[in-house]
Amino acid sequence: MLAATFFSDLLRAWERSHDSFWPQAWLFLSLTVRALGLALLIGIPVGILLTRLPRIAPAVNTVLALVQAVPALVLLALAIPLLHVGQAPAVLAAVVYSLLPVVLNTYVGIIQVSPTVRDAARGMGMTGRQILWNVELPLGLPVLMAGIRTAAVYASGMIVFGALIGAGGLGDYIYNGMSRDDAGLIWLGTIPVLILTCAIYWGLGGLARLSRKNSALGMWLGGGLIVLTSGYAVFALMDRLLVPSKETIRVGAKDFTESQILAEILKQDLEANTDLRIELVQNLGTSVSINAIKHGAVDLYAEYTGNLLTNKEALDLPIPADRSTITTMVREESRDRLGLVLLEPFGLNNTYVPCVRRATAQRHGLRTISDLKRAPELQVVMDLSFLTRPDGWGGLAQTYDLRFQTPPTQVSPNLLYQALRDNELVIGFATDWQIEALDLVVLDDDLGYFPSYHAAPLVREAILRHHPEIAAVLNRLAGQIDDQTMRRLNYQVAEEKRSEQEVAREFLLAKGLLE
Amino acid sequence: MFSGEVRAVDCLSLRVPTGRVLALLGASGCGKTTSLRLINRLEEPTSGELLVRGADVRRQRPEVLRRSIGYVIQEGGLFPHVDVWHNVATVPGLLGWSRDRIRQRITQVLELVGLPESEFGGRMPHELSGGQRQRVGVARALASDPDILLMDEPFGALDPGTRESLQDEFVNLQAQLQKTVVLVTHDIVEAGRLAQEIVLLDRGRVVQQGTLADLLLHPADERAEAFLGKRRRDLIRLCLPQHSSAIC
Repeated sequence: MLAATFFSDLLRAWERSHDSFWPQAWLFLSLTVRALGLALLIGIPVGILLTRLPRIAPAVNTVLALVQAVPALVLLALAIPLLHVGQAPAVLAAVVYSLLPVVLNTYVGIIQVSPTVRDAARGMGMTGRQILWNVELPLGLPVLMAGIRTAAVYASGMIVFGALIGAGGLGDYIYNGMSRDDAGLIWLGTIPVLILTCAIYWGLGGLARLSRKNSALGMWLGGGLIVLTSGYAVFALMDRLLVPSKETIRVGAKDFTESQILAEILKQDLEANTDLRIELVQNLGTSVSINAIKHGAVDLYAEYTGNLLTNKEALDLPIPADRSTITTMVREESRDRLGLVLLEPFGLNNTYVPCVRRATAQRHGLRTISDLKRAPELQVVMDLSFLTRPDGWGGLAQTYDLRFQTPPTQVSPNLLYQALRDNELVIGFATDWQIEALDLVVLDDDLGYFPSYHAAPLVREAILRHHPEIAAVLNRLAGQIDDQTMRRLNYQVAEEKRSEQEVAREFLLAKGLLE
Repeated sequence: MFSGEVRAVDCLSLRVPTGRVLALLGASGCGKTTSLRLINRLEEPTSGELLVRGADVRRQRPEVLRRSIGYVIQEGGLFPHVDVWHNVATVPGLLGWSRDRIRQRITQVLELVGLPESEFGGRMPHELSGGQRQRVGVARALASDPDILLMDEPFGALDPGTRESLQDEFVNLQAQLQKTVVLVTHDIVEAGRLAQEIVLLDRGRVVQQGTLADLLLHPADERAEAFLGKRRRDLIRLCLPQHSSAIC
């Protein structure tokens, strides 16, 4: 049973995503090799140097061990302020994380060479460098190879994590699968990661054994491997530094389905209707995306006006009494203070919406939020953040003078609609597909309490100066995606488990924006 | 050729005549190994003068000096990661010999120590017995045909039978080759078998210098007597049977 579900889940995920699979797998491998190469390039010389400086060796090893003890996610978070989002901070974190086994095993491999052998080498008239190359490195090679193997596993693990900050690769499948509760997609990311990691692990293990048996061959193969890996890393780094990918526009996507669909729509629209090369930077949190676009790590993405207004990284303004001014205000302030241009909104307003089942609405005669005064027996269900937000529960109850008999229940966002019973009021989002699927009644915000969360493309002004065609192309999406359309698109990805690429393409075709 | 004067460890002053074997004898920690290592600059003297082939060693690059002196240590000190052939080829390689010359010389020198190259050249050190390893160590030291050999407890780690046969082989070899040899040992029997001249050291100072007979029959002072201890009578009976009556 379980096996059958596993295979059908996996097969479905493969059918949906096989177009992106090979590029993602290659990207994962490439990033891992880049990180490993840089770790070798730095770690091996440092390890050798430490054998010549026995006094500071323990201190350096302790520092590296401490770095290793920092949780991988924290290390990743620390790389963001330095290099923002995308591949660079992920590779940096992976380099730092895999440095310890390289340095330590180089050091130990050389130190453990028997003093008699070293003495014989000196007595025979070898110079320090000749001893290193002819005696210490060949004899330390098996230990060094074991270290490289550990480092490779650390690096690949960190690169998977890197998908959380937009590095891309197989981790994208894993995190998208997790946020959409799609086991097939998770396996689609996990299995090749396991296979590649095992292949690296066994391959390098075999090389370590070989270098123990046949030192000369081991030196050639191990040395060749180190040179190739480091060479590839340096080449990739140079390529990035010397040939900045000017004509590649980076489109950001946040870590939830709707943002990923909108990003895919922006990407495909621009690809089809401009000459620009587009790259997706996925899985960003709201604060991270704002930071990324401010620093140019991302060139454009779909943002919500309410977020721009209140987020500390963006405008950090109080919610104005007159909610209708928000879009204009956000547009002006973003341009003046952040150098970011908010294009024409898509139409959807993904604000908070209180909703109930149709039967409940009919029984209590509920159409608006004000009507809730007549139903104090309802149980309120909300996600964890709503209770404390400035535009959250406290203000809502005060504005509408609402009193309920029992305190509200808090659940995690993806459980909001699960087991929604009669006589329950759920504070959802306007574009949640469940509203449609469960035939819920959305209560009208008749006093205009909730700020607007109009989604619109947010673009760096500098990019628009060079490529004004971006605004022209994307403004054709204005008003094309209302709440109901968005709910349908969300449903197709989250519930029907179709890929966001396919859903976005279908949408653009239907609107005549794609041929 | 080798007429070095050694002033080392503590007021040590020695002269090793060309083509002869000199043994530095003493208990462990007496400074005999340090004295040996001063010769090829594995240790540096704080004061004094050391001449090899009449030239001050401090004026020579240590690596160049060491390549010109054969060096044998306990267990051979072989490189465990390369085969016999490549172990023996180390110094000729460092000296930049041509490949043909190296190949020729290795066949020759392995023959000399009784390990035919065809059979042993490709073996790894761990595939050899202790005695074979030691022979390879000697072959490696002789590979570039240096006129001087330094040997630090060369046969120390071997079982008595193997040790004796290797000692005999060394005596034969030395009769052919006539190298100038400085040998470090704590075994007075070994010193007597291999060396013409023995220097007994204690705490970095020369206690006595002479032949085995001098040492056994006329210990210079109580330090020399202490080193010989109760074995002295047995040793005389064993090594100098013609003198055994003298002591009884």
